[in-house]
Amino acid sequence: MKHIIISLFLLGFAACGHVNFDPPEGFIELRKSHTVLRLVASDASALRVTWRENKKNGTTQFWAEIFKRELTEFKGYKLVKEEPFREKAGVIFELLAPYNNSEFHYTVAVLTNEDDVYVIELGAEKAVYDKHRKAFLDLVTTIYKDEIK
Amino acid sequence: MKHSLWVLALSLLSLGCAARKEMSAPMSAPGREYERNQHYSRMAAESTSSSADYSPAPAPVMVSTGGSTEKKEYADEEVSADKMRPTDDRGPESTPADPAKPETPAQPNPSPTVRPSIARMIIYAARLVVNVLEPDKSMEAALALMTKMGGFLSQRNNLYIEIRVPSALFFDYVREVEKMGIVVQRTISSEDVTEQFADLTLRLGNLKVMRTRLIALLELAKTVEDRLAIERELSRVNGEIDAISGRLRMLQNLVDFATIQLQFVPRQEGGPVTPEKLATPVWWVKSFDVSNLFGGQR
Repeated sequence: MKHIIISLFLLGFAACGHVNFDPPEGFIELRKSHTVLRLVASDASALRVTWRENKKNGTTQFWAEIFKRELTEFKGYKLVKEEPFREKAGVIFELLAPYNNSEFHYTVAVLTNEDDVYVIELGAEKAVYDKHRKAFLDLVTTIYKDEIK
Repeated sequence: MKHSLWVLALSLLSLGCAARKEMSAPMSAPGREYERNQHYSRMAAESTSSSADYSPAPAPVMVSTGGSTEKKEYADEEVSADKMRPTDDRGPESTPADPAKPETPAQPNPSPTVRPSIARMIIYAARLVVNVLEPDKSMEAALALMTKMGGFLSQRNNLYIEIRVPSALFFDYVREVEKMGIVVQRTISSEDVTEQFADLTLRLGNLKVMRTRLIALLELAKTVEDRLAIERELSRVNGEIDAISGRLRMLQNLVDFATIQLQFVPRQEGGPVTPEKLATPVWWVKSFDVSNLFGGQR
């Protein structure tokens, strides 16, 4: 009986997960938990969606600033471009990040509303970045429409 | 003759090296004894030229005084420059103060009880952890600088190297490496081994004098028992000379070449780029980086 209750609880917990999205074209779902969805392409490019509960006064501007500070000032990544997404719903950072003796494109979108904070990441080699950028934007748009709006 | 032998034996005792009386070894053939005597005579002759190898090198002269690193000038701190020999002086020793000068038993013993005057000898070492954007390029630059300064690689492991650079260029090297990135850890140490070096040099000189006397005694010894006792003592003295010589060589090497341990840390994996800033207060934001994304660690 105890096992059944636990199983039902876990099933219910998984069913109401916040990162249940269809993978965009060229990516497969590699791992999924309640808060993180990891997708990969055949060329080792990676997409990841992370969900966290938002806090009071957690505006898009707040989260954008905290991410920008962490990624540029502490991680040392080079900020190439910063643009808002759907007015104040989110922000997208395009960065260059050193990894394995090379430089990779690393793009991070932060979407927020009163309840949720979604962070969508794309990491790819320079040669294939443009190809995957569309899939990334498709995923960001989907999350915006399904969860943020 | 027998009386003079006893006098020499007593002089040995005064050096703290009394010959042992227990003699029970079998008798050696006369030809073999002759060869052994010749061998010890050759060693005594060699000792006069080898003792110059342990003259201390001039202390390093620090070129610059900028930055936060500690710098001292030791070149002017020689106790008595007239007694000090430069490192590259490998000529035969002929000065009266030379402790290893061979003597005949009939002459008075100028025992080298006065500690030799040497320049200050400092062993320098540093450990640096430097946060850089391109660790491989920084590593190549650090190795190129090491070669340019006349140093050599002691150990390498990924982004860690242990190198040796001439002590005179120690602070210059550290300063150049610090310019390559953000120093997140810096440890610089120095150890003054002047006294240790002087003590060992003095002991070495005394032992060489003792060896010369023992060789002279051996040539005068008449009985087999006397010869065996002297040879046993010679063997012990030679062992001590070898050990001290090795220790002095090692100290000299450590003084001549400073040891620098250098670790390059990529910025995305290492400590904060700007250590003076407060870390991100939201813990989960800190886990976002490209290596986590590709590695799937979260």
